Amino acid sequence: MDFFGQQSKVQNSSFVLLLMFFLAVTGLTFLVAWSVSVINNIVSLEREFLTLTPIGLLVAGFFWLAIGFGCFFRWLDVRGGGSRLAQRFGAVRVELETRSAQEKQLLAVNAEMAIAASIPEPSVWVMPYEHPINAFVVGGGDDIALVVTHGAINDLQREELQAVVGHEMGHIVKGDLAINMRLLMVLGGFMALTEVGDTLGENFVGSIFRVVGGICVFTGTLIRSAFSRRREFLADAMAVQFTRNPEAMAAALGRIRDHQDPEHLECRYRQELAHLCFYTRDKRNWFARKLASHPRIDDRIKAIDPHFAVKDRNRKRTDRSNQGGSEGSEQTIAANTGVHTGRSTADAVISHPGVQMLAGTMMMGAMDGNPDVLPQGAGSEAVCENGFGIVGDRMALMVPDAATSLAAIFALFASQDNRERMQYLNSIAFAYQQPFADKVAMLDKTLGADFRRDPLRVLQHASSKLRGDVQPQNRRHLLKNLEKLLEIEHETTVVNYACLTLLRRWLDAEHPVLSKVVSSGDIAANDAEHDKLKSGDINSIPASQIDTASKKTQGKKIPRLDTIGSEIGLLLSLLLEASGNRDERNLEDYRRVMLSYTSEFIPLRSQHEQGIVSQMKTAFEALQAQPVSVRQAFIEHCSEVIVSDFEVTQREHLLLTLFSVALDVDQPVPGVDASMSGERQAANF
Amino acid sequence: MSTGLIILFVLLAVIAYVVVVYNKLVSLRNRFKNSFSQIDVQLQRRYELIPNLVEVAKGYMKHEHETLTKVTVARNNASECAKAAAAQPESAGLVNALAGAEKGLMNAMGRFNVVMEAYPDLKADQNMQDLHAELTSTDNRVAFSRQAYSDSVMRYNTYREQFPANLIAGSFNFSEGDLFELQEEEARETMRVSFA
Repeated sequence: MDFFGQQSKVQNSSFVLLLMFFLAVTGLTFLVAWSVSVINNIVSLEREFLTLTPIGLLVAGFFWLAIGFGCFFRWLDVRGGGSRLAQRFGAVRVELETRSAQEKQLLAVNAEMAIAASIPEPSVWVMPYEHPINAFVVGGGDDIALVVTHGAINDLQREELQAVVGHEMGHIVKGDLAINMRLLMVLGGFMALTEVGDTLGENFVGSIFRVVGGICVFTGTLIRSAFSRRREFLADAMAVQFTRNPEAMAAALGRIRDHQDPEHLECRYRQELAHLCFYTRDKRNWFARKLASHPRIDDRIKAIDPHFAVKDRNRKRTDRSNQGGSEGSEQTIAANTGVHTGRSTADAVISHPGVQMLAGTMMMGAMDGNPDVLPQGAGSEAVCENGFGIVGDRMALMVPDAATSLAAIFALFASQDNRERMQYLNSIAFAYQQPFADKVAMLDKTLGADFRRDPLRVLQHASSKLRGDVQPQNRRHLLKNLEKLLEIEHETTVVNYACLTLLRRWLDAEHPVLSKVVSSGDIAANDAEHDKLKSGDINSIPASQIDTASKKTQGKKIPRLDTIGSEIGLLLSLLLEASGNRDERNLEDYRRVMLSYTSEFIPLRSQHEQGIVSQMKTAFEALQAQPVSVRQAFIEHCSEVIVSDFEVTQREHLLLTLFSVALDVDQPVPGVDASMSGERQAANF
Repeated sequence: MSTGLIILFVLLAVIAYVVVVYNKLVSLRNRFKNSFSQIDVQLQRRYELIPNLVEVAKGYMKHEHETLTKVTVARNNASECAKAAAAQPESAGLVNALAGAEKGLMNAMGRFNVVMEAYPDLKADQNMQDLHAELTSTDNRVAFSRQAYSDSVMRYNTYREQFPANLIAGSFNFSEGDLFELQEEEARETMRVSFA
């Protein structure tokens, strides 16, 4: 491609777009001033009703003021260097002395591309939970942060990563960061107009503000998106200039296209970050494409390398013939499972022949329905009733390796209903192989009941085994398969959904810097708020004061919490239902906790309702949007509700874990920080 | 009065334009000079890596003393040449000497790589692997800095030769920037250093 020619072409047209943007802003305000003047003149019966009047100018001035304030607040939001912003979006800094080979490679690529672009090296950050391939740069001046998703450093070849990083360097060189930030600020100002309209309420003036704000935001978005699309082409051309490797750029885009992620990012900032990202999902219809921040991937590939499609097809064909017989991902994971069965079992036999034999006898004993064969004897069976004891021990013996762990996971999701279970096992046999399905069936028969009594323990154990032994992409395949399988059964139950979510989190948490994310990240940003809440620690205050205390600490937050009342009600009632007994005191707990969030009464919900799982998902999303202090408080409320009846069932524990994982909050240990539960609580553990 | 004023304005505009073009030429020239020094920085980086490599290899290659000595000598030679060339980037002779020394170093490294094939333990050594990754990246950086240099020279030359900047460049003695004429073949070879 002629990247120099492409660059100058794009640059000219993006100047026109910028001009249009500012013309639109001034034009709209003049229009407002003028139309208000006309109305004003007509009302006051002036003869020359086309002249500007002071009131018109005043209104226009007020508009400018509102836009200015909006800009200012948006600026407060995005100001500060790239490091702060990257941290806010949940990215983790890649240190020079990192151990991970992928991160080292990323650092090297960053240094190379900075040299090619003749700019100082930006700091490098990774978003550890993001599977989609993406990258963006934030910041300005000396503090620019290059943020790359985990998926990108995981799935891209070195040269492709170079191209992606080069694209971001192109954005830096061309000064897109500053322009984007400014446009973002102006858009924030427009949004302030609509907000002013909302505050003014359902009257004439309010609706004028809303309409004008809406038009402004719409035109602003339209122009900004058109601008942004041009700049993407420009940055692609820059990347090719830096790498002199158009094939790699096209290949990176092709890989993203084939990756087929449902979203360009998984985190909740994806809308906010869309304009900054390396790519966004292709939009289907014409109108959405006009508002899209990025051109279609195919168009970008075509601009770089018109013959990519042919080359790509040839490459894939050779790849396939090299692979030989294996076709499709299903087979790959099946093969993988097979390998692990062979190797891990062999390892186990070599290192612990005794254990393996013992496991064998236990399996037979359990199949005979004779629990006495178990070395722990009948006494531990009683512990098993309480949940925590025997399952763990037995897990370690019965599920010694990764392959068995996999089978255990599948067994956990097997249905109670005979017909459905058969269907489920058949589809496992179809997706993997018959021996594996047999293994699942046997585990289900022998341990299924135990598994279902304490799914949390099974998940923890199995995911720790799988994390060590199975490749990340295969783990992802496993999850995809599981999701597919569970859709075969009617509607997922709350428990299945919880297990799946936890499994996803635990299996994907392979990134070495995991713990750092939890401790820094957005918690740090909200630290002050969090401390404020902590000072009125909910559990140390007698129950009667909690309402007032939390109202006081959350102060001005109450109107916002009102909007998530129904979501909180839903989650809490699920939790109460899990405790098993729905008596008056439980209901009393529910009312008391709900009072600190919302004044209106939210009826109790049940897990047997239709579509409860999807409602739960939306509830999580709504709560995710709240600051971390609110989420933390909610989890603490939950744990308080759980321990208030002096008994923690497995389901309660499972749901609490799910809530805290889904809301990105540290999980409190039930019973430890609950002073009110007393000694009976301790006895139960 | 009006004619004089107009002439004055035109004169001012012309002067302003000349100043702008002159400044742009200066900044472009400095930019490409800076990218030349970047090449040197990256070359030095590689020269610093090679002794480490030799040090690690010594532990494994007891009987290849000659090969290692050759690498060290070639490296020292190239390093000297690079220093001399960096002091006087205009001198074609010094740049040519650097190119020759680089070639010698490449040959020695190539020999070293061939010998290393016989030492699987060395290839598996963690330090060696780290150094290998580092060296690959450094080679890339050398290539990229050369590329950035020629890009910036091209940008400067294009601007310098375009009308009306060429008039100003001519009268203020902005000479043409030299492209770094190290054959592309050799640069490619540099990138292919591999221990795999």
